[in-house]
Amino acid sequence: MKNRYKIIRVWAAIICWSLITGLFLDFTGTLHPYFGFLAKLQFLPALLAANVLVVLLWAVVTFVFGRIYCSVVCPLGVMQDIVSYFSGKRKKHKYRFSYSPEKKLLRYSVLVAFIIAVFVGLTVIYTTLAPYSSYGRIATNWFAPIWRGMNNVLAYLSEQADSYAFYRVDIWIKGLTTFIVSGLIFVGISFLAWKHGRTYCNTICPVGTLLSFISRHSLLRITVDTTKCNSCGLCSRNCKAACIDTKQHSIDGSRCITCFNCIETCKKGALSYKLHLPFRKNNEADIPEVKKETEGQVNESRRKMLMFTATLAGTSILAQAKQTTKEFVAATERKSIARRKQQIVPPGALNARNMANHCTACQLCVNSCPNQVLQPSDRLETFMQPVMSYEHGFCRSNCNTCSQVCPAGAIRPISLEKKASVQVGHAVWIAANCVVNTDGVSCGNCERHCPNGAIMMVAKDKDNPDSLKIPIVDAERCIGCGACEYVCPARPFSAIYVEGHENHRIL
Amino acid sequence: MDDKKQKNDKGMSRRNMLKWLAAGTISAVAGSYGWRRTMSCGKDGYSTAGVMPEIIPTDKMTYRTDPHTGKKVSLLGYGLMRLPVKEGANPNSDEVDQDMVNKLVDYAIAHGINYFDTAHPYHKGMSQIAIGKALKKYPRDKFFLATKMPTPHMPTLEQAKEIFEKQLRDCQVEYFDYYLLHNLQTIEVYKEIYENRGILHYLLEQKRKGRIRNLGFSFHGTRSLMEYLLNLDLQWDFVQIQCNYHDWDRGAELPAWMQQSERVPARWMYEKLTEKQIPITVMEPLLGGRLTRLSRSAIAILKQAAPEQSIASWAFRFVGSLPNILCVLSGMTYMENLQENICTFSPLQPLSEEEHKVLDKALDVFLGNRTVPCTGCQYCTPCPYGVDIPAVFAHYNKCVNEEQMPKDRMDEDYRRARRRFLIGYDRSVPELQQANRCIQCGQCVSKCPQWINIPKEMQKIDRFVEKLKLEK
Repeated sequence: MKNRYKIIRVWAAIICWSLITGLFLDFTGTLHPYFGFLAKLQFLPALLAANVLVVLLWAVVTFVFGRIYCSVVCPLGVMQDIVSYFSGKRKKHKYRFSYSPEKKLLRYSVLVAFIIAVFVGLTVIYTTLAPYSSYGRIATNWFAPIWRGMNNVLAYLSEQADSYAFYRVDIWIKGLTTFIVSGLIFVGISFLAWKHGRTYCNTICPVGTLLSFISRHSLLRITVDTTKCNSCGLCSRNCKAACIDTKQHSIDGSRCITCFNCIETCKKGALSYKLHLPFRKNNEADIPEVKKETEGQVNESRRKMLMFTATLAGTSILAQAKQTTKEFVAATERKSIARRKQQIVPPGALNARNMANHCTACQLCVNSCPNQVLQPSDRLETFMQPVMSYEHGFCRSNCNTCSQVCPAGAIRPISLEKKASVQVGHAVWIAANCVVNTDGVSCGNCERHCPNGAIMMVAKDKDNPDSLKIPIVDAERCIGCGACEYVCPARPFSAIYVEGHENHRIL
Repeated sequence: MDDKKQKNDKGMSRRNMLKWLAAGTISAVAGSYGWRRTMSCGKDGYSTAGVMPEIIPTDKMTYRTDPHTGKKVSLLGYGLMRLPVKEGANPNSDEVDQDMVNKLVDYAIAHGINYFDTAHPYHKGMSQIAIGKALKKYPRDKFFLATKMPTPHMPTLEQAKEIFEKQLRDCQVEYFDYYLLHNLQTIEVYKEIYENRGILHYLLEQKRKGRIRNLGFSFHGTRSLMEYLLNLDLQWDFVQIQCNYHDWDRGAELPAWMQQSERVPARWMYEKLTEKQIPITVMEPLLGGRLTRLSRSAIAILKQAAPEQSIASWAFRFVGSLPNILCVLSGMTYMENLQENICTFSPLQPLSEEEHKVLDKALDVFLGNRTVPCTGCQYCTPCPYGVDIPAVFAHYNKCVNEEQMPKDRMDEDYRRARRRFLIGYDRSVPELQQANRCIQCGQCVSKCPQWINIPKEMQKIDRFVEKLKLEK
């Protein structure tokens, strides 16, 4: 018997998930004006953006309905449901779950670690744990390339047909670390979902744990009618949250994500979605904690985390090493990323600290950037958060897309007029790389492309006004847009690059 | 409808006219003779940029013979859509300044103009009444009067009859020398009004009765409509088309809802009509005044070739040089327009081959239609900084030649053209080999057998591309 709550839940989830995935795939900026709010509705970014309304909304919704946020709005949650659905489609795997007691210690310690990380600024931990952002990274690093690949096939076909409906887009790994981390998380979470359903949500996810404080006492809850229940255990075996204790006839509201699968499964009609008065434990039995097991898991996860971090550090060092060993290449090759002392954060981010403290590294801005300037950082202190780099383009004055899409308040909305005068960094000239010095030719490409007139060409030899001209930078007029760096012909490293500023300044 | 813009332009340049008139008077006082340059005091009006002879000839008008009637029609015809209005009135209003109209018509007839073209909707019907009053005192065989059945009003047969009778009454004539089906655009409308409603039959009847001497149509439509009209079992006495050097190869711009393949080049129509031996009257010889407001560089080219000729005269001479043109209509609001145009047509000097080339060049420049003369010989390659020079030029030239250049943000298909240009650019030239990679080192310059200033052209294209990219 189909349950109408479940039908609503499934459709709402499919729509939400598809649109959010669409936000991460869309490179044309078409979806954002209409569905960008879905990103801003996400719990953790809203919490970090101090978006009280959204946080309150979810608190109230959870208090009334339970964790429908987890089953409908969270894209990572829905992704797990999708994996789990296909896992259940296998023969004899429909009823593959079983009840397991709540692992409170693990849940709370992860949550505490997460909160500490947010306050201390341990970016690695909280960006990795943030569920929506995890999904964002999976989508942008693993789904988007496929999407873009399909687009490029269409672009190829439309080119053959002399049509301009589709155009080719670049597919490249914007951050190797992020690519690997998101891949590992994708595989790990999918594996858990395939085997055990919503394990991640009910053990590790900090948002799940936070909402579970409220959902434990939610008004509407799934209830077992003991007079009808024949303790067949079918519901428990079909519960992806592993929260139905058939023996006790109890359902753990803290882990129940109100998917309504159990109601649908019950052949006796013993389960229903019913109003409970607050803080009265009618059906819920306290579940004894199995300490030993939990501790074991904590240790294991800690170990995993350490290993994880080590792997990351290793890969980023490897990535760096790879860059340095690059030989000189022709100008038609893409240049290497400049080694900036201070990373550049986009206009609207205000300063490096604001970015570090608010960004959950969902990659929405990275994917939306039409000029391909934003890339996820490889450094630990700004782990996977967006930084600007100018190998594929520069920050054009007609664009403030990243500030519009950011759900977390890491990049605050900024007008184009204001953006034009925000200094995010300043250009630095490296004499040894400049083609005027290395090739003995006249150039001035940086000066010609500077939109602010911050670069002047002066004679190299001050006694000879006819000598080749080299650029000098008026740092007071430079806003750090990176046009000079982008067009600089020097390889492998640009002869003029932008050094970031920790605090943005209005010129 | 004929172009309304032109009217406003003229209205705006009234002050300049007065300045010009003052300048003309002063120079007349100075006592010089013959052609003389006067001060060019405005960028907007051809009448101010022109010249004026001391004495405007009354007996040198060029005439063309109508093959159907054998009568001589002045090559310059008077369009009556833009008559002078009373002080402060809207230029399109019915408050026509009758005294001034009388004066202009008298002057025109005195200087040899004998073709007058009005229509039902002009000045909300007042144009027909005004010309009727102005021409009343002249013998009926001294002038040719043309008016039109208002197709856009979608008249029924009864209404058409009423309109026709009213037109005769308003114009105070017994017959029309030339009568047109006004503004034919689509086959559907034509068929509905003139075939299904029987209005064509009625007009042919009027022709048999002698109340219409020549029946034709004025055309603003599609290629298929023109083909349809010319293949009818019916000899049109004349056809009025939009013809000028801009539309000659390109055709008039069609509304966005029409298929652009339906765009009809004036040359095609001219050749078709000439083949069928149908005389042509021309409207929009100045494209609503746009051909007097060319870009600075285009004006420079024309003025360099003939400093004492007005920009408008080039357009008139282009059309007038075509032998099968019976009459070129110009809507003249002010005496100065009239005088200058009479000068151009008294007599009309056909464009020489050389002058045709100058005009082509000016038009190309005006349309931004300047390709880089790159032949793709690849002598310049490889660029040490990776620019694919021939590919960049090839893409640019392709867009110019296909008239796909995004020009003005206000243009209707600007966004489409911009998208095409930028996507096409990325398709034909890899990102790292585009024009912005040119460092102006100049190593290619000596290698080019076409003497193209490659760095300069690169910079121009780069700026153009960056401008496009900055415009959302």
